[in-house]
Amino acid sequence: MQLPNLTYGIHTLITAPQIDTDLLWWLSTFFVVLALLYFISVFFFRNKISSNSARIKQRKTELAPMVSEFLFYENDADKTEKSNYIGLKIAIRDLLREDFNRKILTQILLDLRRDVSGDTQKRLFKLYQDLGLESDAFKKMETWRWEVIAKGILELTLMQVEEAYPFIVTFINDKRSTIRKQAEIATISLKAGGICYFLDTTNYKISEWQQLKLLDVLRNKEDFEPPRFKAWLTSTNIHVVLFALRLIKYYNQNDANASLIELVKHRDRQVRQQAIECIKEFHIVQALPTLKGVFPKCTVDTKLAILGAIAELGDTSDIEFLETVSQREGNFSVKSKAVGAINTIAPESILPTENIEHITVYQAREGPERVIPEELQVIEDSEPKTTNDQTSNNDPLVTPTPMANPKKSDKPLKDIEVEVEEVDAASFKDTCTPEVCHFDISEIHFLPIVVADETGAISQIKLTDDGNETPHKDSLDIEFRYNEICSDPFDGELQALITEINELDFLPVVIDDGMLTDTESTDVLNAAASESLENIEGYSLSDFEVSFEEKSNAEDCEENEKVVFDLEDAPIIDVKSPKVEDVMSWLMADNELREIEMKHEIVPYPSEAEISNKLIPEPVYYDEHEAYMMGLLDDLEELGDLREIPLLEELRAEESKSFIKERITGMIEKFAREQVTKRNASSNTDNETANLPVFSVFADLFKSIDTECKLILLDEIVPVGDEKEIEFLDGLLDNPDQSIRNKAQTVLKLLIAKLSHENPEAIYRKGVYDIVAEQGVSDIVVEKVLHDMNSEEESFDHLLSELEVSPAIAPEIFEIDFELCEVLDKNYDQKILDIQVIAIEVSSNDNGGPFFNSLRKFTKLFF
Amino acid sequence: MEKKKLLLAEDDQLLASLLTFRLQKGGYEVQHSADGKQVKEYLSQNTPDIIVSDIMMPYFSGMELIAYVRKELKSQVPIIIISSAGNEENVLNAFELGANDFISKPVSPSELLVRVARELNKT
Repeated sequence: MQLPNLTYGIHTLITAPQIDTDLLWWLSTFFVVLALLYFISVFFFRNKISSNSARIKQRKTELAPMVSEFLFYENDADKTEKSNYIGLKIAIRDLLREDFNRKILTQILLDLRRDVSGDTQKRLFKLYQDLGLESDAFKKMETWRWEVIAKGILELTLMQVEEAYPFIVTFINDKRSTIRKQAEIATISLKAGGICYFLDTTNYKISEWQQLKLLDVLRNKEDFEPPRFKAWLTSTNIHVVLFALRLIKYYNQNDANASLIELVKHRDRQVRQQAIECIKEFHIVQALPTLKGVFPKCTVDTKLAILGAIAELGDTSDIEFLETVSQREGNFSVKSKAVGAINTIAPESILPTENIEHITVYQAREGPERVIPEELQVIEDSEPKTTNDQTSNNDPLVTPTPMANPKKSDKPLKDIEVEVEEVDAASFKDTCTPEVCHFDISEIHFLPIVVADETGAISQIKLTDDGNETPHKDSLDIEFRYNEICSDPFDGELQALITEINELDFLPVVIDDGMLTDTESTDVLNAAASESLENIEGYSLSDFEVSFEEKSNAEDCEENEKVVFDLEDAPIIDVKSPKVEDVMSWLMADNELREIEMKHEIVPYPSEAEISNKLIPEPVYYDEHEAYMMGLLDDLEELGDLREIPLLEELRAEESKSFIKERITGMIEKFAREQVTKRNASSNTDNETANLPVFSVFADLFKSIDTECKLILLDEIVPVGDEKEIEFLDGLLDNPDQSIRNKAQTVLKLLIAKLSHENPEAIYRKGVYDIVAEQGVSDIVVEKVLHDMNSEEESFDHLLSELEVSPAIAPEIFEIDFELCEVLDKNYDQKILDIQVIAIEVSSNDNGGPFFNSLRKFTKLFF
Repeated sequence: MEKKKLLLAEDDQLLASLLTFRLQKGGYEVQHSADGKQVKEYLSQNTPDIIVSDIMMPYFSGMELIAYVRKELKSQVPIIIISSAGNEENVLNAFELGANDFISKPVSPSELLVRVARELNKT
């Protein structure tokens, strides 16, 4: 490849072009001159401005004393001052002929206006107008330059020229914002009623800053009587509404509650929030439902405002709403605000939950240095506190042996038997101190320990003396025994307790006249009972079976005789008429337990070791087969029904374990019972169906069609209807429409005639004859139909016998009923309809019905 | 009767002129100083009966003037402070330094006259 030749030599590149030196000189000169001009102009204008400033300052210095003379001139001045004042006035008028002096004087007055107050300021305003300086401001308002107009308005506003008000208000809706804003301030500032005019007429947005400035003008306005700003809550300008709300809040005008509540629903977020602020400020509780109603649709800011208002205005009834918000709301701020509102209404109802360690609350117990959980303390508190000193000292009925760890026991603790010893307090009355004998309702909180078996009947209640125990098959391995001491009869609080005791009407507490309260200290029993109950945490006392141990008197307490109440078969102990003042007797009377039969039985009192052993339920373990079978039976019991009985019987036959056999037997019986129950239920359903009222399909159709269709529908009743339609037609005989009434009467006649032929018994059963008689349809019609039909059959048989002809063997065609048919879908004269006729119809019987029905329908369609 | 000497320290010429006129009319011999230097210069040579001073002044603020009068000159001449409204901190500091009274702007010349008279009567 051949390289291209270089077109340019190096020398051509380094050869500088020739520059015209004259041009260079010209350019240099030009820029030097330009620089000189610049510096000269700067120097000139600077000097001019400074000289002008000095001139203004000089003039201000000259004019300021004159202004001061004018401002502080007093009418009661001496002649010298007056003559000076007059000469000064003449001089200043000469000065005011020059615009510069006017300008300076205006500036002086405007500056002084900011620095002085009080009477001097008023004199200043007056001087401004006296000197005719406001005319310059009016001239400024006539120019086209917006800044000059704004200056003119400002000047008139500062100098309080009220005459300028009509001119300034024309700029309220000016499109130039600077002029508009200046005009708004001037309007409000110059006249007391300017705020009303402004709110009425402004169409533009009022910025937040402008609202603050306007509010500041109003705030500093002397003798300002604020109008009722609720009048502008209905303005179409949202910003006017917003400003009005702020003014309402500022001037505490709380006479617009309804409007404020309504504005909570406003579409504009700012208006909503401002309305909520006002509601909060004026404590308008009636707004709470509205606040709750709009809450879901609001923004976060508004929600926070609403929650703040609810916290301020709400009460405990609003906590539910706040809880719902705190649970459902996704925004953290709103949730926190809701929780805060709840705590504001109900202080500390919600405690801190985040990052809180779970520590069991322990409570120190009196006596030995031992700490027990709080839950257990509650159980202890609910125990009876009265006891017998003797029994507690000798052989405490409540075994102090702690219960074995229930976790190690599979046996249900409902098998625990509790024995309560009742001691006749009469014998201890003398020794009973008021404190011990005091009857507290909390002492019988243990009473739900009376248990019922699964069938609901009270299974067994034992009244025992200490030391004896009645073993029972279903009974319990643990026995609690209480020495229940009858309190001093009817102390002062008894009447108040009756209401509470009424709630314990299930109590099978049995007591007789001789039961009296012992003076036994409650502490021993409490301690013992609490120790026993410590280990049964997690079980309710309703899981225990109760035996009441009764002591008739002090002597009986020594005997180890146990009285057993056996309530299984409802033989109830016959109690003598109880004393009115005896609480327990009253309980018995109230619970109708007078019939309780008492069985005295010696119950050996178990030792502590026995009781503690019995406290531990025996574990139940299944082997593999048993576990499988129990699982299978569980499934069958849950999902199976009668069909499983054969399988169950088969399983029972093969099974060797007795408890499994028992369970299978129980299941078979259960399924069988369920089947019987179902049959009974189904039979009941059938009976109910049979007893259902007669329903006509025509009645339902009749409701939603017009008169013409009704007439057509009535025509169809005759061929397809049966006895069910008779009642319906009977009802139509009272129809206000004459045509329907007539048609119904006709159709009813025909239907009865038809049914009389087909099924006379049904007619009779339905009581149709009564209807017919009531409606003037003669029985003759029906009877005649029946007679004619019978006579036709007889004559036909007679003819066959005379001719010795036997009919063909079931010829289908000859079994068709031929009857004349009256077409009812034509309009007949009423007289014709009223004629008694024998029912004529094409019967859709079993033999020829379908064919002729089709034929009839075809002809109907054709015509 | 000899007129009371009043030192007016105010940088605003118009207001100073107005107040001077009013105070002179009220019977006081008013010496106007437009900045702190003039004030210090005047005080080094003269002892006014009362001082009316703006807080904000060039070279030498009203606060410094109070401190100067109280600590350096060890004078108990009454001092009335003129300040813009809202400048509460300066006002409190002025009272702590030894100012006798306070007037906020805008000033009512008549009010100032009364306050000056009251302070002079105290002494």
